[in-house]
Amino acid sequence: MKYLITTICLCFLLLSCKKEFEGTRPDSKINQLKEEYSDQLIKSKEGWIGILYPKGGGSYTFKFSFDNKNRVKTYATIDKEKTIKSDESSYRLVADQIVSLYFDTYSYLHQLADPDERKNGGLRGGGKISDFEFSFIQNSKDTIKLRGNHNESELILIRAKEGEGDNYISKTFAQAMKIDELNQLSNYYNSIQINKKDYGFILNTEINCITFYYDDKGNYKSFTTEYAVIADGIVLRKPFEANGVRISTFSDFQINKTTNQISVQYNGQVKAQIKNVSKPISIDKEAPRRMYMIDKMHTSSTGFTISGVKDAIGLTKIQGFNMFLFIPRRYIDPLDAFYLIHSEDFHYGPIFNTIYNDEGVLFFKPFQLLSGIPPGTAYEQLFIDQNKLWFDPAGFNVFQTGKDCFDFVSRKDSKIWIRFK
Amino acid sequence: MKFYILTVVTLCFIIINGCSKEKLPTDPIVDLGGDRWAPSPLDNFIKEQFIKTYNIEIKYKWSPFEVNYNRTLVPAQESKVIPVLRAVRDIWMKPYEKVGGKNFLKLFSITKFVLVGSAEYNNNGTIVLGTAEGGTKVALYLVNDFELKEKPTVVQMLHTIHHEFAHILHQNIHYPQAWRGISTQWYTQTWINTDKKTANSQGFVSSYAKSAESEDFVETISFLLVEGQKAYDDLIKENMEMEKTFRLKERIVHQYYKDAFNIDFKSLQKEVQTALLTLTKTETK
Repeated sequence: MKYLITTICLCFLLLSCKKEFEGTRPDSKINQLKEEYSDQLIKSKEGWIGILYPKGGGSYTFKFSFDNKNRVKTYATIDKEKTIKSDESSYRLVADQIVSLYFDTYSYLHQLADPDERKNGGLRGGGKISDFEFSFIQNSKDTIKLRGNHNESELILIRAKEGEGDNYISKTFAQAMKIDELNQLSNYYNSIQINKKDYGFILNTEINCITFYYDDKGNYKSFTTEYAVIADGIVLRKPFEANGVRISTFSDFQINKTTNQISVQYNGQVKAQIKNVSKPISIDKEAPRRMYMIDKMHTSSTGFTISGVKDAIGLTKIQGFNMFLFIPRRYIDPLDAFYLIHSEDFHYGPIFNTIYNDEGVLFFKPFQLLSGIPPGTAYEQLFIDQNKLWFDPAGFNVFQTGKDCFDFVSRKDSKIWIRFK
Repeated sequence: MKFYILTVVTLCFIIINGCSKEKLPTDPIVDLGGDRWAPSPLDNFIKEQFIKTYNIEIKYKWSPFEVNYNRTLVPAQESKVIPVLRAVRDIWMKPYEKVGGKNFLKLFSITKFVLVGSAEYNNNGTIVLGTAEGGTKVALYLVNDFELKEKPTVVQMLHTIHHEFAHILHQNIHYPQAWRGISTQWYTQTWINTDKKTANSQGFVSSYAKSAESEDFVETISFLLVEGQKAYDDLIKENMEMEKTFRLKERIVHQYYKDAFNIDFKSLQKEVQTALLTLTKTETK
């Protein structure tokens, strides 16, 4: 019996030795993939349009031109200067666990990932939670989908067509400015009819998020997604299913700020009218509670918008202006604060109790009308004017416009609103 | 017996046959010998000034596994690399070579400089400006904020370099026993809670010097070299009650350089100061 088992084992040993490795070796596969990807990047004559969705939110459009000397020329919609002036840096393809594209010296792309919060307005030590080393996830002739190795941001590269040359990003930036005019109409509320159904919609151009909301048997329903700005409109990151119609793009924005007449095309073919109205289609009754309970300081860069005019009170013109900050539970009790941050980190503004009810009405009960270090006596009246809006007893409706981002809209007058992110 | 013969024969058969059929793959191993890219003028500068001369590799392109992968960092800006390297060469390497001899730096196995664009942010609010590992690798952070025209940024970067190199020196030859016990009572993990003024009044050149005995040693060296003797003397004047401590530390540093490396610290200090002035002055003009 013992002999039999040993003999069988030896036979197995013999058999196992016979199998030789056949097929392509991993090294060869990786080298081949690196070459293929590299060729694909370099051989696009007009370069690549890059849409970046950082993990930290928002979206940015880039234009990349890769050459065969590991150099990449970049334009970006981060700010106006970067749309006109290109930046040259280096890139390389690296065989990590998945073949990766490293943008390996600093360029516009890295500004978003910079841990120095002064470089991008993000978090200290984290920036905008973005990436600059990406794994190839999906690849077709004209589209490459990549995922950030560090923070899992998403980068989509789309082969640029003829006519989408170096000025593509400045066209895209102009388009973004044009779209922002939707936030400069006299009323806060916009509605669009899709397949005979009315939807309210909010375009948060600060974080590139679009929200659709509607009434579903007396309940508020909404859909929010990020969007990317391209030269002739916007592309939704996730398509919106509206009454049987799947919407993935909006283009051909026609906005007349004087007459409040707006039209737009969705999916590149269907024309729709946008109405700027004084009443919302539905109210999110849970939004004030959600907004208040998040452990976050809500920031605003523009303050109150009145009749389409951003910072209508004029507080952002104060020398050393940094931002507005709404801080729930600033003090125990709980007392909340709405500060203007100026001269690096001095603050000035009211302290109050935040109150919200089951009807979704948010309002503030003053405790101390102004506290902190004033930026100058000349501005005192501006703060008093702002307090009149903030402490309006009619209160605000609250709309969520993105992850942890909220707009407060006056219930008395839909022309008055403030956007927090 | 038959069974054992059979087993031995079979095993021999397996071993002999197993060896004979092996064919080595001809595909090149991925990235064998490091990453490759088309060399730029910057790469040529590095090749001429650092690789050929000192056999030191300068990693300025992003390489995530050279740095702390758990932190958010960004690569260096290309336009900042040559100014930083010039400062490294002129204010760190050349003074040591001039005073310690042409081959002084070659006695130490520094093989790699890693340049990182940003600082490394710790959870406790502090930032890391440089690290030295195993006596061979130095990582310099905050390269993107470096400006030769602005003396404070040059001083900050050079302070980091001299600090890290002093670590490498004592990782090779330990600092004297006499250093132990001078300020032991003040060393603490929570050094960040001590402001600079308080640290000075306790006999330290900086708050970070309070973090450990070795950090105190290299911070003192770095301060003496980069901030200069006058700044050190002024520091003592402001903290007269700690004069004895400061002077003792200075003496030990001088003695250490003399005994361990046959370097006259005073001359080295002068060379560093002259180089610092020359480089920042030329750029300001």
